[in-house]
Amino acid sequence: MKKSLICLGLFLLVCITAFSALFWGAVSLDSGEVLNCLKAFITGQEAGNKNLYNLVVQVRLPRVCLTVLAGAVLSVVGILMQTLTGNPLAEPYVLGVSSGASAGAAGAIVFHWFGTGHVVFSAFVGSFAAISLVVALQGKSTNPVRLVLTGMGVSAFFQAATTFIIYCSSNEAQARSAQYWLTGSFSGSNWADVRTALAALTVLLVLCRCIEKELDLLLLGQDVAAQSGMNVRAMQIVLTLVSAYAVSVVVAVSGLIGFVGLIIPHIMRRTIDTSHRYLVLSSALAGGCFLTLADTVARTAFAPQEMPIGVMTAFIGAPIFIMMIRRVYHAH
Amino acid sequence: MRIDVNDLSFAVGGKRILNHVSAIFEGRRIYGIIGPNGCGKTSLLRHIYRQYPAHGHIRVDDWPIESIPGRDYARRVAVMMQSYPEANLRVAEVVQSGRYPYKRVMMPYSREDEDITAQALHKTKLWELKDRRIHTLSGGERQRVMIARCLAQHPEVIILDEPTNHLDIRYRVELMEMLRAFDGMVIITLHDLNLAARYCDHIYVMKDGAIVASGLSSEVLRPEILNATFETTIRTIDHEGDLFISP
Repeated sequence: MKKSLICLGLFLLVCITAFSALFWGAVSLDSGEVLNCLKAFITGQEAGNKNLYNLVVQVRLPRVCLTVLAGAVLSVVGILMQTLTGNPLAEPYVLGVSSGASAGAAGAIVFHWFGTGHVVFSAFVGSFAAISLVVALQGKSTNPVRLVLTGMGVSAFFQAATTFIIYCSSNEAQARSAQYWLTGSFSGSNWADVRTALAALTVLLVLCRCIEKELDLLLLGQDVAAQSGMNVRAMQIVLTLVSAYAVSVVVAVSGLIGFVGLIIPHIMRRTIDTSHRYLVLSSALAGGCFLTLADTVARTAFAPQEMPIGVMTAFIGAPIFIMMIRRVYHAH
Repeated sequence: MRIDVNDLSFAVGGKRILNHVSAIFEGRRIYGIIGPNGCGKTSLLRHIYRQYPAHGHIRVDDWPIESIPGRDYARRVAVMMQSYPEANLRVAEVVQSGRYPYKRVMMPYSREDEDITAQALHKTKLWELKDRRIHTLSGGERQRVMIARCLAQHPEVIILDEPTNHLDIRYRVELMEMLRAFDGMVIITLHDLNLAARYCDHIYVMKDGAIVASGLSSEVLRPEILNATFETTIRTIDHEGDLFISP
């Protein structure tokens, strides 16, 4: 009961954050104008001020929706990867999975891998390659720091691959758009991106609800799970595929954003619960809230210049990551 | 339930770990496996709880062990691992997860599972600790949580691999008493020969990957057997029918 109330509170917080984020930006808006535009959008009526309507409904609203969704997806993927590897330090960015996805995305744009317009699929191939590589290299070792080091190696490789791909590009516009995969940004978000991200979040949440019991059992360790009659290998494959898919979607719509999947589940585990039902729900909500706040700061702090959002999350995430490494290292 | 190990051999990287081992485990007994470090005790257990493939050398109630589906096997055989969960779960959550083999995909834990979990918590005197996080427990308490988890699994056999290491005498006795009260078979590896003498109904002595002696504790725990096995001088003292073993 208490936990569901906290989740309800977080949900309200997401709504408030997302709503307030609409007012902030390079052009400050009056609340009445924004409300009119939203009303026009919801009722489908003709808006009074076309420019303002476009700014709110075609630029800011999809961007805010996308930050909420991407934050939620990254947090839940973080949880899945932590449960998959049995390691609280696992996270798409730390393990190089995001870098794999951005290499795939950059390849799709520069070399037209898998045909034009298949950025998400190409990113998926990249992230799947990276996550498989990390899981295979980790083997049966349960040393959490070793996993992080392996991830760093994989990450370095794929970042180099991304830079190489950008370097190979003959076309400057392409090179600039590929550069975007390395830094991460929500500028230029559109409704198509929102739909892609919403699909990914839905898949993640439905999956987590269906395999809640299995995820909780995995917290006891893979050996215990296997002895309890769970098909650990099948579960690993499902989690790997779904995580790779979700990461590739986020990277395709927003580029490389680190540490969200590390910080949010870490805080939620300590404040809400370690078992998955409320952990997943609360992390999705808190992640959405966090990334929306971070993006609002990123686009307003140095307005009209925009700071890449990956910089914001790394400033907050890296110190927490270092602190967690120290703790895990001492405990081991 | 009857477990037949028949001519089981096992090697890792060319090194023989198990050498033509044959053993029978049946009925409501406590089976102890003793032997020096590296004699193959753990490997034998791992074959029985299917961490390692038995290649047709183990039969359970006359069925090849490989032919039994994972969940069915987990309903009959519970294993107490030497490791503890890294995640900071609550005691009741850990114990309840013992009900997993009885659940199909997407089937949540039911009222019945909660009742069985509560029984297991009471049996192991953990009821008062049920909402505690396992990282806040002592080593002996954590051990009890893992025993409670095995009991909640309602198995016919509980397998334990050196559970009494790093437990003080009180927890050792407590653990063995709980196993004695368990209505089923227990297979346990032990370093503490006095515990083996006191609690085990049948003992297998292993050395260099082979079983070198087998029988009731009074038949097996004799100086000539123990001296040859552990390559040291061991005395046994019979005090009013209780056997004591001392270096």
